[in-house]
Order: sequence, then C-alpha cells, then structure tokens
Amino acid sequence: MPRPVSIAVLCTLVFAACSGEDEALTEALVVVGPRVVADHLVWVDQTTARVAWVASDTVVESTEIDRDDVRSAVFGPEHVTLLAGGDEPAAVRVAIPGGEVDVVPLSSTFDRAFLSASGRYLVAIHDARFARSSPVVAINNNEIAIVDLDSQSARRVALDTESTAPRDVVFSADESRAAIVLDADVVVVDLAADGIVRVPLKLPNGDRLAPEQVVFNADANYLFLRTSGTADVVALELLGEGSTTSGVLNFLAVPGAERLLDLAVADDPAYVLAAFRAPEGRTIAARLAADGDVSETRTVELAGQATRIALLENRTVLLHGSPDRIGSSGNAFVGGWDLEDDLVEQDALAGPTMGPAAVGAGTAFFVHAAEGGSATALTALALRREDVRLSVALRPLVLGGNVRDYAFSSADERVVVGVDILREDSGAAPLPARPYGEPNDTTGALAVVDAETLAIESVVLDDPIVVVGVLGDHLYAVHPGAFGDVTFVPRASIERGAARRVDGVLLSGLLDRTGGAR
Amino acid sequence: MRLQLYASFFAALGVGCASDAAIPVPTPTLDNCAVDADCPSGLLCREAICVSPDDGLPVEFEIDATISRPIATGENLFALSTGSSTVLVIDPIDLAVRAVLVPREPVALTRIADTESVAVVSRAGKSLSVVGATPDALSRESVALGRAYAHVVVSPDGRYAVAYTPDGLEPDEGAEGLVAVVDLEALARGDDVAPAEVAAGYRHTNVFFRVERGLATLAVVVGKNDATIIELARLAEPGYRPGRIAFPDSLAEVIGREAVASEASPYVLLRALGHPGIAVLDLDLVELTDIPLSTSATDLDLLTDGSFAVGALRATNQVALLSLPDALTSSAAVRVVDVDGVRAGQIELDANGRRAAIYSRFDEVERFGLLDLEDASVRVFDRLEKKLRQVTVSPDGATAIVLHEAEPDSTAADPYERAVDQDEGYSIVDLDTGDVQLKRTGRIAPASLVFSNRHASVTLRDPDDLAHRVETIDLDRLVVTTFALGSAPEYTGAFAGEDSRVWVTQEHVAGRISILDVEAERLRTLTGYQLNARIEGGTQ
Repeated sequence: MPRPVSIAVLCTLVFAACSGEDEALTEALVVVGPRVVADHLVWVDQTTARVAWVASDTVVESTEIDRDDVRSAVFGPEHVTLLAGGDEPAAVRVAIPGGEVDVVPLSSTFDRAFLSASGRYLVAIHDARFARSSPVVAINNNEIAIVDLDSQSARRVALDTESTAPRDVVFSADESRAAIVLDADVVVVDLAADGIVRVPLKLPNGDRLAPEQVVFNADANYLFLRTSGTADVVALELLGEGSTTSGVLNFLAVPGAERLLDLAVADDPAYVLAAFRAPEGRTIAARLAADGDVSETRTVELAGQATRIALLENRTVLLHGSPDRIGSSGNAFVGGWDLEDDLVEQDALAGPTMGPAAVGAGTAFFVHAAEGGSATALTALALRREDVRLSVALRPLVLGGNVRDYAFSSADERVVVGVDILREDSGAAPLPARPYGEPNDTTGALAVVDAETLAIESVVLDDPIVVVGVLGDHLYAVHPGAFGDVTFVPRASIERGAARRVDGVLLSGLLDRTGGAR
Repeated sequence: MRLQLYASFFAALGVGCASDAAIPVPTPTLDNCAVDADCPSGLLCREAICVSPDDGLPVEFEIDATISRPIATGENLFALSTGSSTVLVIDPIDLAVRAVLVPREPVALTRIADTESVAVVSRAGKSLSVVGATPDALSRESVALGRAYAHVVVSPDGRYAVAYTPDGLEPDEGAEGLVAVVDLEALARGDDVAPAEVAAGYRHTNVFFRVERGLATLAVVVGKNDATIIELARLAEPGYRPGRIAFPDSLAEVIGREAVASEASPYVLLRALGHPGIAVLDLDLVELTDIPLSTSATDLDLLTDGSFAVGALRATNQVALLSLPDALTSSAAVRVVDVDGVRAGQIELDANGRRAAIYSRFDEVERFGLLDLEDASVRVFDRLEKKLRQVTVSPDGATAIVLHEAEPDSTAADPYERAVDQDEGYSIVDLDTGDVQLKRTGRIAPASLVFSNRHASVTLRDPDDLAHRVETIDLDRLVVTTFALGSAPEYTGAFAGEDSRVWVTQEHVAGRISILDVEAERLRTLTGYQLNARIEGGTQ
C-alpha cells in the first residue's frame, strides 16, 4: 500500500551551531518523509538539503548536500534522490546507509521528480504548484528530463503538447516506459530507448479529456486511462519501437455505464478491470479486452455503490467504497467477483472506511473512519469460492481508540494499526503539554492484527502516532513533529520493553547533539 | 430489391439517406393536416391524416434498413470524420486507422466503383475530394466547387461526380437547383479541374446515370417539376445548357413520389400518389411515356438489369408486372395480377427477380405474401405473431426478415400474446419451409438490417441509452446471437463479397465503429479514430 508522505512546513528557530555562527536564523523547513529505504527510515529537509536516516538498531546518520535549491526528493529501494535547481541543476542521489553521493547534471531546474520502483529511472518535470523562485524568467513546461541513475546520464525530452505542464508520471511495471500525464494529453516515453508517443486528448468538438487515472498493463503495451468527459476506459495501444513508435487509441465501453470510477490491472495483460457507476446507485464491474474485442467483455452488476476495484491474488475481484473518490462518502459497500465462474456476492461493512483496503492474497482489511459512529475499527474481509457460490466473510474488530494510520505487512499477512488512546491509565509516560497542537490527553498504541486468526497484539507508546509501517523485522511508529520522532518495535516482540525510541532525527548533525533512545 | 433510395420517404421516417446523413433532412409530416390542401398532391386529409383517395389508407412509406454511410470497399472501410475534417481509412483486419485531411466539414462520401477510393463533399470547404488508399500510401485530390453541396454521386464508370443538394436541405446562397459535375479522370491526372455548374430545376430527389458500353454518357437530375438530362461529353462546351423534360402535374410532387432506375437500361421509372400509372422517362429518346393503370402505385421496384418492374396497387389489391422495354409500346407487356390473401401495399423483389414479397403496414392481419413472378401464384405466410412494419428478402431469396411494429394498445385476451404484441421485434421466415422464428426486442425497435453471407444483423438503438446492441441471425439455423454495443448504433453495412463481417458505426464524440465477425461471433470496437489522426509517434 502506498505510504503517506509527510510534508511539514513550519517556521522554527534553528541555531546555526554547526556553522559556528552565533545568531539565530529563521528558516522554513520543508520535510519529506520518513520513507523506508534499504531498511532505514529516511527523512529529507529540502530547506537545508539535509538527509537523515536511522534503522531500528543504528544511530542516526545524516548528510548535507551542497545544494541550496532542493525542489523535490524521491525515495528508491537503496537511495534517496534530491532534485536540485540553482545555477547547476542536478539530480543528486544519496546511498542509504553509506551516504555516497552521485550527481547527474540536468539541463534545467525542474520542480518535481518521479522515481521508478527499482530506483533506476527518474523523470523530472516542471510544476508551477511546486515551483519556487527560478533564475530564469521563462520556462518551457513542456520539457522533461529522463535520468538513468544507474548510468548517471540524463536527457532532455520535449513533450510538444498543447497542455500547459505535466501533472503526473506513471511508470510501467517493467520500467520500459513512462507515461507523462498532462492536462489534456498523455505522452509515453521509452525509458531505455528513444521512442515517444504524443497523444492529444482533445475531442473533435474541442472538449478536453483530462486524465484522472493512468494504468499500464503488465506488458507495458497498453496504457489505460480514466478521464473526465467520458464513461469509457481510454485504451492506448503502444506499437513499434524507436522511430517507428506509435500508438492507437480506443475507447472501451460498457453498456449502461454512467461513469467510470476506477481502473485496475487485470489477471491477464490483454485485459483491464474497471468499475462503473450504473443507474440507481448500482455498480458495474467489467473485465474488458484491451484490443476492443467486445465479445470478450465480461461484466457483473452489483446492487451497491463501489468506487474502487482491485484484483486479489486468488483471482477474485474486490469492489468497495472509498472516501477519496468522487461519488462516495466512504460508503460501506463491499462486493466480490470470482473471475473463474462469474460468481458475485456483496455485503456491507459496519461503517464507512478511512481509505483504500489493505489487500492480501484473498483477504482485505478495511479501517473504519472514526466519524462513522461505528464501534468497529477494523474489518477483515475474505473472498472465498465455495462450490457454486462466492462467499464474502466479514470479521469486524473493535479497537479501543481511533485509528490514525494503518499498513499491511505482506510478509506475515498482518495489519499494523496506529491508534489514538487515552493516555491516562494507559501505561504511557505522563507528559507535560505537547508542542505542535497535539493534545496531551492522548497517546498512541501500535496494534498488530493477524489476518488469519485475527489475534491482536498491541503496545502503548509514549506519544500519539501519525504514521505506521514495517521496516524489516521491526514495525515503526512516527510521532507528531517535524524533526523526526519515531519508535521501533520488533515484530517478534510487541511490547514496550522491546521498543526503541529515536527523537529529532533531522536535527542530527545540525545541532550539537544526536538523537538517541529515550 | 431497391436500386435507389427515395430521399423524401426516408426523411419522412427520420431515416438518413445513403450518405448525406451528416446533415439531417427535415422530416415532412403527414399526420397533422386540417384540409386537403395541407397534404401533398394526390392525398386527402381525413381525421388529420393525409390518406390516399383510392382506398382511404395512409401512405405506405417504405423503409430500407440496409442504409450505409461509411463505405466498405474490397480492402478498406472509408468513414467520415466531419468534426476533424478527415476521411478515415480503416483496415478491417487489424482496425489500423489512417487519416486523410480534407477541406472543412466533409459531409458525404461515395465509393468510386472498382477502386479503393471515395469521392467526398466538404460543405464548409465548398469542395469535392477524391481520397484513395493503397497498402502503402493515401492520396487526396481536391477541387473547389464554389458552392456548398451536401451530397455526391459518382457515375458507375468512375469518370464523373455530381454534387447536389438533396431535397429538404437549403441550397447554398439560396441558389436552388444547381449541381456541380466534376471530371474525376482529369482530377486523377492532376489537371487543373474546374467543376461544371449546371442549372437543373428545383428540389432534387435523385441523380441517375445512363451507361452505354461501360461509359457514362448522361446524368439525369430528377427535380420536383422536371428532369434535367446532362450530356456529360458536352459539359466542356461553352454555353452548354442541358435539356429538361417537364413532368405532368400528377408527378410534380416530391412527397410520396418514387423514382427508380438501373444502370443497365435507359429508363427512369416514376410513380406518384396522384398519378394512376407508371411514368417512364426514356433517356435515349428523351421523352416521358405513361403506362396507365387503374390506380396509383403505392410502391415500385425494378430488377437490377432494368428489364422488369413491379408496382403495388394497394387500392385494388393488385400488382402490375411490367416487362421493359415492351411495356412502353405494348399493353400486352403489362400484366395486372390480383393478389389474394394479402394487402398489396408494398413490394420487395428478391435479388434474382423470381419472387416478390407483398405486404402492407395497414393490413389488419399479421401476414405477407410471396408472389411467384412467373406463374403469378401467391403463397401467404400468416403464422406471424405480430404486426408488420417491413419485409426484407435475403439476397439469396431463401429467407425473409420481417420487422414488426409494437402495438402498445393490444387487446389480446391471452396475457402472453398481449405482451408479445406490445413488444418490438422481428421474425425470421424460411421462405421454402415456411418456418417462422420470432425474436422479441422489448421496447426497442430494430433500427437497421443488413445481410452478410448467410447471416443478417439487426441493430437496436435503446432510447434510454442502456442496452444498445446488434443481433446477428444465422439464416440457416434461425438462431439469434446478441452483442452489446457501448453506444447507440448509427449506420450498418456489410463488407463486400462473401465476407461475413458487418460494420456498425455508433454515436461517440470521438467517433466509434465496430466490426462484427458474424461467423466467429467476435465484435471489435474502435473508438476515437478521430483522435488517432492526431497521435504522433517517433523518437524523442
């Protein structure tokens, strides 16, 4: 599941102790992270170009990049890469935990970076929403940079579209291609070769189709788009290579569909899964042939309103509501579709959900929104084929507090949940008033739920939790604050005595002290 | 078999004519009259409906469901993209699309026979283009017409194109009755071509060609009051003005009149509601001859070779069989046959001219007849379950597809039969065995019908936009297979020859076409071909 990125911008006093100056400086810290890189949690402060990292069993380390205009930071499996502007624009890659730095010069100052899953390719774009002062008056927003971080090379690519600027970049799973998403265009670039396909999404009547979701198939020879202005799945077939690269656009329709809600990769690269809104609050789930072969279309209709579709590993399809999608208020509907035999089943959760499901092999976890009024905090859903029917098994769990964040540990099929609980009598250390507006009457608890047995283990921590995650054989809980306060808990021993607290990770090397266990 | 479509009839039914459907023709109404003068010539106003004075029944509007707009040649599909001013050339095998830019607002295209090319009229661009396709290249040659036209026909030999404004549409600059003739051979050579503009009367319903020894020699423009005969070889003569043949008053009415012709004969046959007989325009003699009948014909059909015509005489429940050219000179060549057991309102000849289906939308019995044109015997098929709307005989003459009409006010006592009456639908009738198979289509009336090999395909356009579909009929097994369509079907057609595939264009802002392989039961849809024309591929 994607990790939330914490970007904190706050004014604080940073004493320039390390620089040897006496006066206090006021700077705005732009903090990105933490993210997991090479079994370390990594924070980046773009203001000071400082990268800091810590593992569950190491001291905090940090390094400061010699750049004064860091625009963006992206995290790969073993590196963090900063996008720097100024007089010498560059992509600066820092190895974690070694701290070695590689610099790849860029042709221009870019604002945002997108990194492929392996960390090899970086695409840099201009984005006015993220731009700060620039040394040049005019910028060609239709220009991007493709950086091969392994070979330390970068090339400029002119998009030449009618759109004003890119908005997003999506990589194919095999990292052979990237889709540059613009206001009313999509440009697909070959990453290792030089092919490019420019696709204007402007209808003959002048209307523009703004891309809202972009998904490559597994073979990277189809790109599927959900766009404004049409209820169809827009399918772009990518053909040829190099100078013969081309694309053929098609619109995949489902009769009776009013609106396309979500796309997902299907069990076969020649297909795509899609959820559509149908009249009277119903949902159509469809498996559509990418090449427009309508005779291959399979659809099922569900009585409830789903907004998301996802393929589970057991070739069943999960449909559910989600609060982050238009047309849904985080509704409680869930449905299942067995692709083998077109079996369908549907049910309702105990209440609205907080966000997308954490999806496992045949199980999905839903975390419920606190405002739903339900006592249920978590529901484990299993889709199982039973003879001639599909069963949707719901197992609700009640936790003693409001869920703040959750993550799925695929290695051991467990869900990690950060919960707000009352500090009093919780076992947490009593604290004076907390900074940053956090109430001092609550603290955080880290709960771990086994997907199969629903056995729960939990540990009370000394501060509220904003982010939880898995780091190797440890779990981590990030506490409020911009300087990086985190608690590590061994997965094998969910108890306070085994936990390790690290505070002020970003202050490491900046102030005359390092973070340490408390 | 219908050789020429009659624009006014289709307009009256809200059905687009062969290739001018991009510009809808206004629909005349025949059901809100107050007095006789409100009706077209030859009709009377009775209870607010214009009816025939012969039998007091409404007009028999013929529906030809095999209407096409994109053009299927041997190798390609040609389709218009009016919004992007392009002609799309689509490979029917892999659906690869190539686009050719043409002058603004292309509205009609017509195949140039025996070639992989089409003639295209651009309305806003006031021009005519010829677009050709080979596997390796596309070509376009355009010529300015000086005026906006909405339709184009091409002579059977591919040498001439005539652009005109079909009846019902406003002519450019109010200049009524002008047509533009373009020498396509000169255009293909790259010559500096100037169209010949010809004054041809008023309100054009048809343009025909006379072909002699494989070459088109005359173009005939049928207008409301007269026919203009253009000698194509004389177009280059300075001051050349074609001659006209005036119609008598009984023929000078476009609504309810029908004109048919064959490339293989020099005759144009006309019938009209107020004209008791068939008028024959002899293009060689340039004269109009009348073949009198006891009543006006309500339908007229002509064999492909032009040797035989059949007229339906509904008021007397007869059909008139005309052998041509003998019928022009000898009454013995005109045979009037009584038709028993069915009402003879409409005629549908089979492809080989041996039999004709006879029926009427106003027959009180659910039935149609099959007339053997040799011995004049009639076989009645009366095991239909629903009211008739149209009967179409398959090209091989073995099967009839009967499109039915829903009867929402059915009073059938049996609730199941009443529900069947209230549904739309069609029947497949084996004309040898008489076996009938009904297919109900609920509240959706069939929109078009097209034959391909031993199959037929029916498109269904759902007014609620939920269940558009195409249904294919195996004419041997009488079994129907349904394919859902993503949006409303527009036009349907078959590929040339024995290809079993059909195409269906559908409503979509970016353009949509589906190719249905009937035998493989595979439907592939291509949408957004208008956008594909703008995709750029290559190197970074």
